[in-house]
Amino acid sequence: MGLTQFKYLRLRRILAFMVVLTLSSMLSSLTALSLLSFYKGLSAYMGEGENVIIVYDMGSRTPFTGLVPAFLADKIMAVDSVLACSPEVIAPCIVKGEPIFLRGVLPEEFLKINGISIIDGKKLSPKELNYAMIGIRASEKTGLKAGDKVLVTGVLSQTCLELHIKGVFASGSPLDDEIIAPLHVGQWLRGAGYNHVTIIRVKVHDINVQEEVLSVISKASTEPSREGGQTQPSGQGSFEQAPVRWLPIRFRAEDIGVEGAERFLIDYMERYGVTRETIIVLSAATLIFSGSVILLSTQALISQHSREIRILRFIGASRKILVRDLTLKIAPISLLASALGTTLAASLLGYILESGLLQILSHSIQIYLDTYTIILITLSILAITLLGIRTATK
Amino acid sequence: MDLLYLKIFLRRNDTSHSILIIALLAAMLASAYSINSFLNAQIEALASLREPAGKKYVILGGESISNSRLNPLLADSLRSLQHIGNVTAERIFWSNVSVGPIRFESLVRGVSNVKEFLSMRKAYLNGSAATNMAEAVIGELVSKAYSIGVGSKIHLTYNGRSLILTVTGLFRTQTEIDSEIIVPIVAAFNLTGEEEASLIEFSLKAGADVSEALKEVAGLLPRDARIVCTQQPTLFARQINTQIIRFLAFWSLAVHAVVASASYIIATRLIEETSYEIRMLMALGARRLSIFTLIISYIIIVATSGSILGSALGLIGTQMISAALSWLTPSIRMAPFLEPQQALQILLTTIFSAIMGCIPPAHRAAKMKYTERLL
Repeated sequence: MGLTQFKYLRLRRILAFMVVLTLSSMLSSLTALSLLSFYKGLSAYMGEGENVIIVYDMGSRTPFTGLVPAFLADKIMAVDSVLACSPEVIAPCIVKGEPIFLRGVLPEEFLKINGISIIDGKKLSPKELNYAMIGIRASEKTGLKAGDKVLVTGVLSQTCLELHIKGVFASGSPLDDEIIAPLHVGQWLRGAGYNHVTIIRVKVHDINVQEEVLSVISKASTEPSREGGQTQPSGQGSFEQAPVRWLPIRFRAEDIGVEGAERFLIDYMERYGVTRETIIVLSAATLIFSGSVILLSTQALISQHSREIRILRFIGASRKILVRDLTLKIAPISLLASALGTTLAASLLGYILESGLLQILSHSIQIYLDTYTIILITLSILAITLLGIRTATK
Repeated sequence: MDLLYLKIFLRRNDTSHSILIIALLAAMLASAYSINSFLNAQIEALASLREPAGKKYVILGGESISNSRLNPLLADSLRSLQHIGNVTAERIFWSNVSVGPIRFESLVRGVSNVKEFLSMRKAYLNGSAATNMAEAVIGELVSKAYSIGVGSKIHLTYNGRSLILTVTGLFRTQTEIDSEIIVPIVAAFNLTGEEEASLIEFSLKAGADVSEALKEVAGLLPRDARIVCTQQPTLFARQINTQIIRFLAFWSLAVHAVVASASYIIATRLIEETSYEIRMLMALGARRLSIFTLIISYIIIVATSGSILGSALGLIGTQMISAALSWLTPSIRMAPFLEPQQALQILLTTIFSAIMGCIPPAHRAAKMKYTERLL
C-alpha cells in the first residue's frame, strides 16, 4: 500500500515546522560559521602564503605584546634563503576615539611580504618620519583619508603624537583594519625603545629554513650587549637606510620562537583553548541543544496530524509504511529548511561583517564558508528529524 | 481558580520535557556569557597592570595637534591650581625645511625652555640645547634621515615666513620628539606669526584626586578645548570587550529566535493535547481571556524554570569543561563565571522571547469553539 497520493499533512503546520527548523539550522550555522571565520581569519593574520615565518617572544601572553631584540633582523637577513625580513611593532592606540592597532614597519621590507594596493594617496616611503598609511576598513571606521593629520594616543605608553595620513590601502586581509606607520612610530607607542620589536616576519624560499634561523638566533644570544650606547649605528644591509637604529642587546635564545605564520597564531589560540576541535565541539553542542527543538517540533507536527494518521492506520497502513511515507514527505522539508537556515546565517553574517559591526580585537572577520561543516549541520538536522518521526509514530 | 486550572497543564508529562528544551537553550547563553565574563576579567586585569601611576594629560584646542590653537596664558592659570604638577605650553606645526639641496617637511616644536624640556624627556643630548631664536636642536631620526649634523644651517619656511637656524645639538629620547626639530617658543611664534600654543601638557601632583583635579582644569578651558589622557589601557580593553559583547548580543538574538520557536511548539502541543480540557473549561464558563492567560502563564512558568535550570547547567557545564581542559592541557587556565546581572538578563530575555513565541497559538486557542469537538 502506497501513501504518496494522500496529502494529509496540512500546509500551515508544515510551514510552522519549517520555520522552526530554519531557525534552528540558522543558529547552528551561525555559531559554526562565525567561530570558524574567527579562527581562520586570525590564523591567516600574520602572513600571506606559506613561506612566511615569524620570530616571536615565546613568553608573551598575546601575539601583540611580546618583545624580540630588533638586531636579530640584521642577523636573519644574512641567512641565504631569506628573501625579506620585516621587523614589526604592533601597538594598540586610540585614533578618533576608536581602538585601533598601529603596525610600525620598515616600508620596503614590509611591502616585500604583504601585497597592498593604494586606493587613495601614496605609499609610505622609507624616509618619511611622521607619515602613515591607513587600511580601508580603518579609514571607513575613523573617517580618515589621505592628506589628513590625525592625533594618535598611546595605550601602552604616555605618547600623544600627530601623523600625516599619506595613503589609504586595501590588502583583502586583517591589515585593512590597521594603520601602517614607520617602525619608530610603533616603538614609541609600544614604549619599549628602539632595540625591541614585537615580531620579525621573514619571507623565505623554503619554510624548512626555520632550523637555520634558530641557530642564528642562538649564536646572536652569546654576543656582548651594547645597550646604553647612544648613537652608534648598527643597522646592516638593507636596514642601513632605516631612520631607526638598534643595538645588540642581551637576551635568552630559549625565549625566542620561530614558527610558520599560521602556526604562530594557532599556537596562541590553543593556549586559550581555541582549537579547530573545540570549535567543532562547541558547534556540535549548539546543534544538539537546538536539536531538542527540532525533535520536539517533529513530534508536534506528527501529533498535530494524529487524527489523520489514525484514519490511515484504520484503513490498513502499517507503521512501517507510515514511517516511510512521513520520512519521504518530511525529509525534503528538513533539507530545504537546513539549506534555508544556512543561507540565512551566511547572508546575515556576511552583511554584519561587511558593515563592520562584528570585530574581534579591532579586526574585522572575513566570512569563511566551510563546506564540510555545512554538510554536517544539514545531515545532523535530517538525522534528528528522522529520529523525531520514529519516536512520534511509536 | 486560575491556578487550579494551571495545574491541569503543569501535571502533564510533557512539562518537564518542555522545561528541559528551554533549559538547553538558556544553557547556551549562560555558557557563552560566562566565557565572556572570564575573558573580560582577564583583559581588564592585563590592562590594569599597565595603568601608570603618574599620567600625562594634554589640552588641545582642535582635532589634531598642528591645527590646535590655545592661549599660552592658560598654562599660567593651570600652574595656580593646587593639584597640578608640571605644566608646559608648546607650539607644534609642520614646516618646510631645507638643508642645502635637501628639502623635506617636518614637525617643529617650540618650547619655552629647550634644555628643561629635553631633561624632562630624559634626552641624550649630543651638543648643546638651543637658547635663542637663531638655534635649534634636532631629533636623531631627522638627523639620520637627512644627514644633518651639529653646526648645520637649517632653513624653516611656514606660510611664506622663513627663519634660518643653526643646529646646536642632536638628541635621542626614544619618544615622538625624536622626529622633530625643537626650537625656543619665541622662534616658533616668530616663524608662525601667531603667539598661540598648540597644546598644553600637564601632570597631576602625587595623591591628587584625579576627577576633582580634571574638573578644576576643565573649568578653566575655553569651549572648543578638550583634555586628552594618554596611556589608558583599561579604556582600550573595555572598548575591545564591547566588540565581543556586540558579537554575543548578535548571536544571542539567534538563540532567542529559537527560544521563541520552541515556545511556539510547546504551546501548540499543549493546546493540541489538552484541547478537551480547554474546551471543557470553556463549556464551564471560562472566558477567552482566561484561556489566553492560562497558556501564557504556563509558558512563563516553563520559561522561568527552564532558564534558571539552563543558567545553572550552562555555568556548571562550562566550568567542568574548562577544568577538564586545564587538566588535559595545563597551559589553558580558564575559570568562567556568570555575573548576577547576566543571569537576570538571561532569565528576562528568555521569558520575553518565550511569551512572544506562544502568543499566536494562545490566541488561536482562545478563539476555539468548544461545541464542535465536545459534541
